[in-house]
Order: sequence, then C-alpha cells, then structure tokens
Amino acid sequence: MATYVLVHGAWSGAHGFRHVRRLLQHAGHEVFTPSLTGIGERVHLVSPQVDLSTHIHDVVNTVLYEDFDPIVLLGYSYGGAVVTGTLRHIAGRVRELVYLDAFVPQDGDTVWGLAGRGGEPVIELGDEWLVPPMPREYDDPTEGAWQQARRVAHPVRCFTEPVRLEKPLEDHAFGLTYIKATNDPGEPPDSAFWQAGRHAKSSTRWTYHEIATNHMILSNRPNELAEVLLALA
Amino acid sequence: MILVGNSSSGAVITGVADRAGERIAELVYLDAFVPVDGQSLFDIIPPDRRPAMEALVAEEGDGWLLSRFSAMPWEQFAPTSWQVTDEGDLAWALERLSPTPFRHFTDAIHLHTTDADAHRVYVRCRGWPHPGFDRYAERAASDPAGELRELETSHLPYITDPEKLAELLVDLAG
Repeated sequence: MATYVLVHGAWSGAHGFRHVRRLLQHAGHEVFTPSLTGIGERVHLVSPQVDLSTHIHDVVNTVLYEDFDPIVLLGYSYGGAVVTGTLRHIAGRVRELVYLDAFVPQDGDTVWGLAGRGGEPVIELGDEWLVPPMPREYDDPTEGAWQQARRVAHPVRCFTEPVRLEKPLEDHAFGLTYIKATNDPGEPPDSAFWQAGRHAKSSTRWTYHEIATNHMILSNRPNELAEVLLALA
Repeated sequence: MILVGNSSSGAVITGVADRAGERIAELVYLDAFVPVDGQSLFDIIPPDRRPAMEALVAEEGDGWLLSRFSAMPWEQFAPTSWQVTDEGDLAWALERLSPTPFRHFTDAIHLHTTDADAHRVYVRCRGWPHPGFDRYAERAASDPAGELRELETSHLPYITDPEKLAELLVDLAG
C-alpha cells in the first residue's frame, strides 16, 4: 500500500482530484489531497497574505502531522511550484516526485516568471491581489459545469514569490516523473510545461509520459493518469 | 454522508447539520457536546471546569488563547483523564496538541432550521465520567428519532481503541 499526496493547481482545489482519488483508493492506496489555504474548499480564508509559502506550509504540515513516510508526491500545474518548495522540509520522505503538466521551478524562479510574465512585480498604485481564473475547456460538459462552479480567484503572491530549492531535483534520491498533456490547442509549443516536458523526455534521470488531452487531465483522462500513478506504487 | 464530531466538535457538527442537513444521513455525536440555539460550549461545560480554563486564558493565553484543557499539563492529563497510555500514541499526541482560540468555546451557536433531517446518534464513551454527556445519552436512548450507542473506551477512542470505534461506525453505515 502506497501513500499518495496530490497537490492541486491554481484556481482549483482538492476536489479537482475526485476521480483520480477514488481510482487510487479502490486499488488499496492511501490518498491525501491537502487543501491549499484561500482557494477551493478553503476559499473563505483568502487574503492578500496568502502566498506560495502558505501553500508550501499547507502541504508540509499535512505530511508532518499525518507522519507520512514514504510518499508519492504529485504537483499539478501551479502545484509543481508548491511541491518543489516543500522539498527543503520533507525531501527525505519523498520516494517519487511527479509533475503533472506542471511548473518545474529552479531555485529563485517564480510561477509568473516561468509563465513569461516577468520577474517579481514592482509595486504600483491600484495593485490587484486576486487573479481571476483562466478559462478552461473540459471534454464532458457536466464535469465542466461542476468544476467551473468551483473555480475561484487565486492570490497573486502565490505566482510572484520565488521558490526556494536547495539542490537540483536530479540530485535528490527520489524518482522523478513528468506527465505531459499533449493535446491542448491553446498551449504554445514553448510553454513552461512543454519546456519541462522536453527536459524530462531527454533526461535519464526522469521518466516521461504523455496523455493526449488538454491541460484538464484530472477531469478528461483520470483512468490513464491513475494507471501511470499506480505503476509508481 | 456520515458526519462524526467528538467532544467540542459536537458544536461544529451541530452547526454543519444546520446549514447542510439534507446531505447528512447520520449525525454522530461521539462523546460530544450537543448545544442548542444560543448556547456556547462554555455554557455547557461542567461549572467546576470553567474557572481553571478562564485562568489559563488570562495568564497564559493573552486573553484569547486556551493553551490546554486544565491546569494539569498535557503530559499528565492525556495518559490519566484521557487514558492515552500507549507510549507511542502518547508521544504522537503530545507533539500535535496545540493551543485553541478561546472563542471556539465562548462563541454561541446560532441555528436557523428547526427540522432535524439527519438521524442523530449519541455514542457515550463510558471511560470518561461526564454528567452532561450522561444526560445526552439518556435523552438519545428515550428519543424515538435518536439512537444511543455505548463504547467501553476512553474519551478519544480513535486513539485508544480505533478498532472498536471503526466497528461501530461501519455498523452505522449499515
């Protein structure tokens, strides 16, 4: 029996994993989907003070309070920055690190920097601290409506705070996996996710998988994703 | 779903049932407080326990934080009153006990619905002497819409007797 800790993406929440979670649990594994403060089911706690460190703390505390060891740790999209930030606290408990169509930051990178929106922003008058959700397409309209009803704004400091990574991912003991969504018409070929995917594909240190759908893999292809994750158990 | 609240969480699940009762098949008060509209936990905690809590909040909690349940430190309280005697469990619990904002106890609950949709179950843990919980148990036993179950366990069966608690919860799931 394995323990999976799954970290969700921007504007979403633990509920995004509902299909995959059930598949992994039916196969007999333990699955935790820590709720990130201020979004998803914790939207009532949102404030300008919620930042990347808050979300890193959310995940690290889940692992420490539950005393999980070892874990398969997964970061989806923005969650890639979060799980990278947890490593200086809990790397010793991670057996497999999985990036699902996710940002793979190096030390000092910010999510917005990787997304091509420049470095840490300069303070200006009238700064907005909530970033509205990006529009997303889902294969199934019913699933789409259900997920859409639960999309909320995301505090900007999550995207502008630099990630701290004390040594390169490849220098850690855990296995590294990158899963790329290969059929997103809106995604440019030089996106942060494609760059991370190409690096993983050409590296002997990484295992690389592709799933032929758009970014909303959790909703569109939960079975394919579960198959990849179960092989890591 | 089956919603379970232990001890002071009886107030939390009462509030949740008030807001989302139609989703709850079983509302399980696990050796818990059952506040009525307008009551706070502090109102229904046995009177002899209140002065010690207020003193802790004033002396150790800056007037807003309750560091522990009684003057006795956790290291003594947990293995005696709560019967967490297993060394491993005790160490695990002591690492994770943390101060709680006093308003958790002093905020009154406000209920809006009068119909109780959910089937209410009171589980009395006989290893924890508590006249207030005994009264809730008696009420559940004589209430046609309610149910009484009893466990010969400590106040925290999920730590001290998880198999017995799991058996009961699985049975309630039907």
